[in-house]
Amino acid sequence: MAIQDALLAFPWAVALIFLPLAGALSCFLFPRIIRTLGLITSFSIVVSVVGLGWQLLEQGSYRHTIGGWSPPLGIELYADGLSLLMLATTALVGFAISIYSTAYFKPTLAVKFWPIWMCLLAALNALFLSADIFNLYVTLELLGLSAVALTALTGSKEAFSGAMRYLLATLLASLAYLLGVALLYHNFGSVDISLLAAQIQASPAVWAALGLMAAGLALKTALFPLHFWLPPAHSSAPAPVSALLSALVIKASFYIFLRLWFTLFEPVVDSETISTLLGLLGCAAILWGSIQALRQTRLKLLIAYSTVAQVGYLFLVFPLSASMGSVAWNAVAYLIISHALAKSAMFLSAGNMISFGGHDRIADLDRVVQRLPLTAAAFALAGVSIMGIPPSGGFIGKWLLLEAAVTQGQWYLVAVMIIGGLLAAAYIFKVIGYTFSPAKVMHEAQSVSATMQWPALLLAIGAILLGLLYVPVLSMLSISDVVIASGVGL
Amino acid sequence: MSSSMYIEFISVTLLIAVIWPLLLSIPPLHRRLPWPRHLAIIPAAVLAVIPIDVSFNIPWLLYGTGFAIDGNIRWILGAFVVIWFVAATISLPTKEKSSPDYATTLFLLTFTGSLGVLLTADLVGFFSFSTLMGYGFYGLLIQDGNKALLKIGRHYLYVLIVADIALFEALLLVAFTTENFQYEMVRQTMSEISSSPIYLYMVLIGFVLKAAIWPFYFWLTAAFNSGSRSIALLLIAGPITMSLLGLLRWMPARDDIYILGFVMQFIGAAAILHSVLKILTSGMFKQGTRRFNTAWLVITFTGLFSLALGAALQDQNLWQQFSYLIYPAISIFSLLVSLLILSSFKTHNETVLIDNTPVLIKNIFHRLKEWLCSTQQLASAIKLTSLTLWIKLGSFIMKQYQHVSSDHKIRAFVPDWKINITLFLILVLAITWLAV
Amino acid sequence: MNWNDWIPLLVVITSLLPGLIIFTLAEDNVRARVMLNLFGAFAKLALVGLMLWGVYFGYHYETRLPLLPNSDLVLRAGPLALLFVTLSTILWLVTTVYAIGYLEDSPHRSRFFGFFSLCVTATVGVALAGNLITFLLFYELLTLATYPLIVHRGTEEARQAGKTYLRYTISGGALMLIGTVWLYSLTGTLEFTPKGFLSNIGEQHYPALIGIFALLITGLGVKAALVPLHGWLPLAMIAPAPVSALLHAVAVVKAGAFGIVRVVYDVFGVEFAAGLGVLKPLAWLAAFTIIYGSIRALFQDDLKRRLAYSTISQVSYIALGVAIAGPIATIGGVVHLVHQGLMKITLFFCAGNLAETLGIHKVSEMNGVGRRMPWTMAAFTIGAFGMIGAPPVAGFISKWYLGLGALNNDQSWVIFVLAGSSLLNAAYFLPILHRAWFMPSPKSWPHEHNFGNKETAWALLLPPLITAAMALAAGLLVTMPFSPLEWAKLISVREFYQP
Repeated sequence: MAIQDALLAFPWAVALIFLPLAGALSCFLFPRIIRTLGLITSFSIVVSVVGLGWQLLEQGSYRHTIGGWSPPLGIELYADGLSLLMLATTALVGFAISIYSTAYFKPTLAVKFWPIWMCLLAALNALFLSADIFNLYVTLELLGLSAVALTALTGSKEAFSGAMRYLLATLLASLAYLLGVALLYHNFGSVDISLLAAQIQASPAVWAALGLMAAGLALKTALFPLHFWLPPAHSSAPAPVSALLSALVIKASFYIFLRLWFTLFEPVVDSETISTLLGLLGCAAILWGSIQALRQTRLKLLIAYSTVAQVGYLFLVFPLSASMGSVAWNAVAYLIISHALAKSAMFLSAGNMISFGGHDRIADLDRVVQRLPLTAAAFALAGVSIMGIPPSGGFIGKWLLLEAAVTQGQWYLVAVMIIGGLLAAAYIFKVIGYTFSPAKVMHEAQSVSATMQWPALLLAIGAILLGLLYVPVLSMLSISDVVIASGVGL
Repeated sequence: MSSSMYIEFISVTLLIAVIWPLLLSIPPLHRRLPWPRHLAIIPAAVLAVIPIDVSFNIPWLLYGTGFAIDGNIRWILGAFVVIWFVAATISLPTKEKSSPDYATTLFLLTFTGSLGVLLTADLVGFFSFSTLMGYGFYGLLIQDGNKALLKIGRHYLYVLIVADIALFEALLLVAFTTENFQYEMVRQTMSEISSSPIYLYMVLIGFVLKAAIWPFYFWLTAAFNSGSRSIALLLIAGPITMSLLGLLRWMPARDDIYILGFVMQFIGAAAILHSVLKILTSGMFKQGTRRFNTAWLVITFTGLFSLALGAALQDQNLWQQFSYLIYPAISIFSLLVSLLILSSFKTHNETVLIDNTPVLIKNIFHRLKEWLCSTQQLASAIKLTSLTLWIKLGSFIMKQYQHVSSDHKIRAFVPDWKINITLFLILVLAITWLAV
Repeated sequence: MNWNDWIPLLVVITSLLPGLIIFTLAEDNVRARVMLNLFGAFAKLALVGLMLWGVYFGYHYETRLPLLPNSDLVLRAGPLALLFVTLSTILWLVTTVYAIGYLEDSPHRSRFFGFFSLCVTATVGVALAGNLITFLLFYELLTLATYPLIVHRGTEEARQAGKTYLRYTISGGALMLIGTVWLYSLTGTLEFTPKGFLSNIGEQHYPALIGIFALLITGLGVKAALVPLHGWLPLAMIAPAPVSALLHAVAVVKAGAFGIVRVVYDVFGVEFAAGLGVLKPLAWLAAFTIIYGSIRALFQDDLKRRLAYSTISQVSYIALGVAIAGPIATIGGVVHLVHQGLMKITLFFCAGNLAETLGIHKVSEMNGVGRRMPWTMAAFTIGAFGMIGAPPVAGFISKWYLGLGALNNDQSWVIFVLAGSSLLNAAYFLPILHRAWFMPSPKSWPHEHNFGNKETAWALLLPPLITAAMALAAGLLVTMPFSPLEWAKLISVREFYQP
């Protein structure tokens, strides 16, 4: 009993931020055992998330004031259902990527990879636990810089150019965001989200802040037409880095936007028009991303464009949250998680195929199904979730969005989603079709270790199983203590 | 006591008579027995001889098939058994033991079919067995590769298929009206004014075609022409007689369709006249042309039959009075014709194919074939509207909208920074403005 | 939940688990693979037998797992479900034996049998589905499981055939998804209820319901090969013979037809659908498909293609039976599910035998095959006569009831369609029989394998004989209590007469 109470009272949220930072430091200090340290840290993050989850289930949403200083002066950590889900996703995907990276990176690169990766994890965790907009800015910056560093890891020309583009885009976005924060702080005297929510009123400053923050976060999330930096960055990075970029980093800025929109801005601005605008951009993203993905001849670019398309789906929650808030909310949570699992599985299996064949040309994938069955299975299962075919998490998300769209009579959204699904099927099966057939020129295969194949497969299986676990996920999502008029739980 | 035992014995013999040849038709079985064809006929012979009437039902077979034998049927059965026996003797199986003896298989299958037709007591059983008999006979026609018989076989097949379809529709109409398929019940039910006259037409079409009643006799004369005695014999004891029997059993007892009666009588009269003319002009006493006579004799008989039928269609009382005469008539007639066939058909080495299918019918088939071929081409053209083409069109359109190539040079990949920053600023302004 | 509630799920798992395990087996581990396959098949047969027995005595078998808010994953053993499940299970067993014989020494058998088992899992799931969302789930799973079977050979031709297959089936699946979501948003439930659950909908929704019907039937019609959605079927013949046999007799095509039956009876309700006026167009479409398929079959020289077009034609009988909207036509359509499965699988098995033993792929190469492979051709003959509608093989029974149903509902034009179809069937099957039995054989066959003094391997010979015997028995013993016809009558009574 005492142990149980102790475990419940333990500040898991703080641990979530502290542990990866400590891990980063130790990786930097002890390069010899860097892989072990990295794995231990990842695993401890998973444990902490479990602890936090238990805590939330027992006690409801969680607030922790750091150092005892409460807002408006101090920093507060806040965890509720949505943040728990994001943290859990981060922990799981991060753990899988860590296992993969132990086998992927040679020691020279590993020394550079692990510290930065730990920093990135710390930034992510902190971001999901933040409760005020300035803290969000800090973590966002940290996240962006770590991500850029990881992108440029290999040091090749391509990597540099992609990382450079990413850096400039992310800085521009952060700048805009900071301006928004400044505007809000200036007008309302606080950066804490709940305090702001209580005080916010419609005024030109708020509108400007919304414009800046929305555009900045849209740029960071690579919403059409601001997606230009994503394909080169994600495709020129090493495979595990691409995985974490597409699966986790993008979701962070989207998470921020989700929070801010529903808590701060939606009640006080003309939300309908903006929602429609965001929805239209989302539709364009779906169509454009899918069409571009279909045209690619290189695997990693195909997957990167697929990410652009999937981000479009996420933005469809805004027009659909008007009257059926909870359905759209559940849908977006589901889409985020299943996309994270599926996309990371895809990038990891692409990494395997590249190690195997030395190239990632789709047409020359030489009977991968026979020679790398686990990888092919991982790619196929992940593809099933991306396409939105049952049974998978992607299907559940798509179903919920479709239900919301049909009930609200927004048939253009239905049409776009269905067409997006068909196009996704087209490009996924293009790859799968080539994995069955021999290439024109056979080549020698390098072997790929099991440590690299199994994480991909397990992530993909996770994406599929998510389709059958609706009830537990939903119960996690509903933990919250702020309920807004539109019926959307936060 | 003993009479019931006899009845059981006869019932069992009846079943054996039908099943035994069916079993024997399997090649591994009949290869091991001597004289398999004759052996198969023995139970039926027994039935023909013993004068006990039975009728029973097997409820779990098909729709509750029944079998029955009575005095009338025994008349026909007697002639039937004799003719088949003779046919079995004169058509000896192939000498080589190595290849499977399909001739015997087909012989026995046809025999089973004909016997079954004779012995069943309801319409569904009749139809099933007559299908077996029909296709078996087709096999018999073409099994030795004789070119003349091949052509006849094809014509017979067309006739068979069309007739079977007509009879199936008739059967459907019966099923629509009643649940009981026994002959008498069917004749009663289908003779009520309320029931569909289409049944009558279908029955007539079916059996007229099968029995080669004038003017659809061409395949019959060609078959007799071919010089094969066994074929001619089996025709008599098989399709022709059984089809006449079918007319007897399936014909509804209604006499309100006067015009049909007239038509049938006309057909009958025309048949008789035509055949008499043919027989006279062919010269009965010339050796080589006796063959014509035999087929025309059959046509005469069927003409007589249709004459009688036509009369009955006008006045059912005639039918009631004289129908009992028909069975012995059929029986005696078939025996007579068989005798004629046997005596007139000496062994012939050459077969003269005289194709008297009218040109019109040949043309029709040819035209039908051409029309089907053109439909095929139309179908290939229709492929254009299939989904595949729409998808090809879609991807073609998509290709037109690509300015940004994204394969090899990542640097040249992205449009200018200026454009992107402009887009960013536009987005900021748009959202800000729309927030109002 | 008691023991009974898990049996439907177990039935699905008995082929899922062996399939997943088979994926991991080494290529030459033949024994383990065969044992797993047969174990799964027999276990499934035993469970299905148990369910049949239980339902006869009034037990209910239903598995319910949460899937979505307000929609569960439901597997329920009702009469229609049991009909299809029994057919699938028996035919899976037979096809497994056949596949083991057919693919001996072929590459990638583990992969093949793994996906084979997944395919059956999906089919059984489709059969037992108790609501539309479960049906959709397993229906899409069927698409995914059959794709690797079609591209199994790995040639360019196979890849293209797979591509076409996917284009059709995924588009169809998308349309079904829209229809299902729309229906759900209108009614809030998707459970299969006899006579449908739409009778309380207000009249203003009728146009929406017609749209939903069109979407669902189009989605299902892709798999059921209704014209013009049939283009994938002849191309999918590239797959090995066991795949064609299973796909065309049992799994994919039947799942589509079964879906149409479900949608009309248990979602819309026959009378309601007739009132909406959607059944007439379905009947016309089905009739057109029947005739079109048969005409195309006439001109095919490749044997499997001819059989493919024959399938397209025959499966529409089921849709026609459903669309005529009467109890007797229902019996005809539903029973044809079983009969066509038995006859068509026989024909495909025989085609596979000819290809495997003698290298024959075209009808023009089939001269005199009857002498070389008499038992195979005997089975083929029975199947062919069944297709033509000659008694007493089972096809005659289905045509009988369809015709009768049409007469009962004053839709006599159907009789002409059926007659025309019989004629066309005779036109393209009888020449095959003629060639096989009555023409002299060529000097040598294209590619002969010698099996000693048997005509072919036992594993290849027994399955068609078994299914041919079953087709014959289904026709001869049609009034016995457990015949498919009696089962179909039970289903029809439930739909039309019970309150």
